[in-house]
Amino acid sequence: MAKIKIVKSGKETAKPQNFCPWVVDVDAPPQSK
Amino acid sequence: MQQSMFNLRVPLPEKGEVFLMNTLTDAQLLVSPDIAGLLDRLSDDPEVFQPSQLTSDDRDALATLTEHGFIVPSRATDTEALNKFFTDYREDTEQLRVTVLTTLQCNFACDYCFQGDHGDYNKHADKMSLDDSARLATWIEGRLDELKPKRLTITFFGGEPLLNIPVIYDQAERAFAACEKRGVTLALGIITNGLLLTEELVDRLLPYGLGYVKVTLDGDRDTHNIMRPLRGGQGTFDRIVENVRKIAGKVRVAIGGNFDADSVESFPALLDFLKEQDFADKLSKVAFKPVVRQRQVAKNVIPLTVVSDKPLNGTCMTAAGSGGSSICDTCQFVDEQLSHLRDETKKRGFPTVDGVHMGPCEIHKRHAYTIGPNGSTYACPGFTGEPSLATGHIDGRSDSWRMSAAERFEHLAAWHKCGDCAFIPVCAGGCSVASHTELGDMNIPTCHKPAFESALVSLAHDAASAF
Repeated sequence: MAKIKIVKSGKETAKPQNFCPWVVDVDAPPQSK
Repeated sequence: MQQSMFNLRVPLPEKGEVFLMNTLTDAQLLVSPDIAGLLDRLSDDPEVFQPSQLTSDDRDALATLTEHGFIVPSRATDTEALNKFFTDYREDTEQLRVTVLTTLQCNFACDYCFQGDHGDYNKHADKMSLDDSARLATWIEGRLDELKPKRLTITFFGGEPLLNIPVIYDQAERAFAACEKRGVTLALGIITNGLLLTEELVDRLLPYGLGYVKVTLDGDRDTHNIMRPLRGGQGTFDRIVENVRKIAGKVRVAIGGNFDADSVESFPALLDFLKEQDFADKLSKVAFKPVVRQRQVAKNVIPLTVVSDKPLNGTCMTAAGSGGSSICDTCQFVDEQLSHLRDETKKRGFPTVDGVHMGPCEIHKRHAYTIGPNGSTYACPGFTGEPSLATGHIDGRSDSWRMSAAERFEHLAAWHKCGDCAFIPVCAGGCSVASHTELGDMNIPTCHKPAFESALVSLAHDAASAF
């Protein structure tokens, strides 16, 4: 029987995690003051 | 109507399901094989959309697939959406990102890095003065007023940033005041070798928004001590670990590491060691990367450059091609080891990257800047070893060569040569520094498609397990 389970909706864009081989932790979330 | 070019799938026969992902919308679905078959029928025969050929279930399934981006009107729609995605990413003003190189000096003598305590390098390496720090703070305020972002993220890097702590404090205090005045959220991060990391430093920066500290360990104790020694050859592992232990409960700590063919086998032992530590559950991320090497010794690209005659020399991160089918032996090695180390990291319960959501990196963001110690601006930290690639200066000087470099980065789009690869939205053609360093052209992709494919399989299994 046909079924679809939504693991993640396509309506919320994912944040890049970390491509940079040098430095950047682009996933580091902002810290509230 | 047709399938989106950004669709990916992983069959999960043991679960009787198929994992579908669209890299542009980031939708992830677990579907029964007949749904995947429906997508195939759509590719074979677009007329499948004729209502007379569809059951009610098919119609519902197609509606859901369309809603999440798996079905699009045409290839032109995909291309248009991709262009919009990169434009929005580039022009985003929600966050101003500034990476500050407090100094290019370093107290380590890693043999894979041209920076550091070799010869008289430190004697001539730039170090930011407090006067320049004040000028940088003024420049940042100008950007804040211009962009009106919600967040300012400052990452301190180098060289070894903690060799210039006065500038870190100065920047933190000035940025905090500037953000308070404007209602902007401030986040600070430090990427350090960890040798000079102290509780005092962390305590002083926490009120200003210190969000994370990233420390590098290049393998287990013995391997790290060979890879990242002091000038006299003394090891640094024990001191770094003790420093991490002291601060781990105060601030998020990420562990990074650079591996090559000689050191990679020691990383599982490092993970075992970390798992036994009392701060293991406080590590916010553990992720390892290959040492990036150059074909030629001539260029200064930070921080990881040549050691000749080693197995990865000149070829890791370089297999260029449309869609990434041509992978050299050493690139294949890197891809396999990245996957292996990620699995080993996950197996021990450490948070790590999933290997799919890797990009685009910040070089594709207009409002992400790297500032060298002398105030020059760069597109990313990887280019700071080549002053001729500075894209500007915080004092606003507009030399023609800087403008020319800025123009080159403005049009950086290596993915244009990636054909119809479904990974473009999460890769963007790979690392531009690797392309520039190893291929001599930052507009040629550095393709690691097998690494993405392998990571996708892991992501699919994780998704299936979670349901």
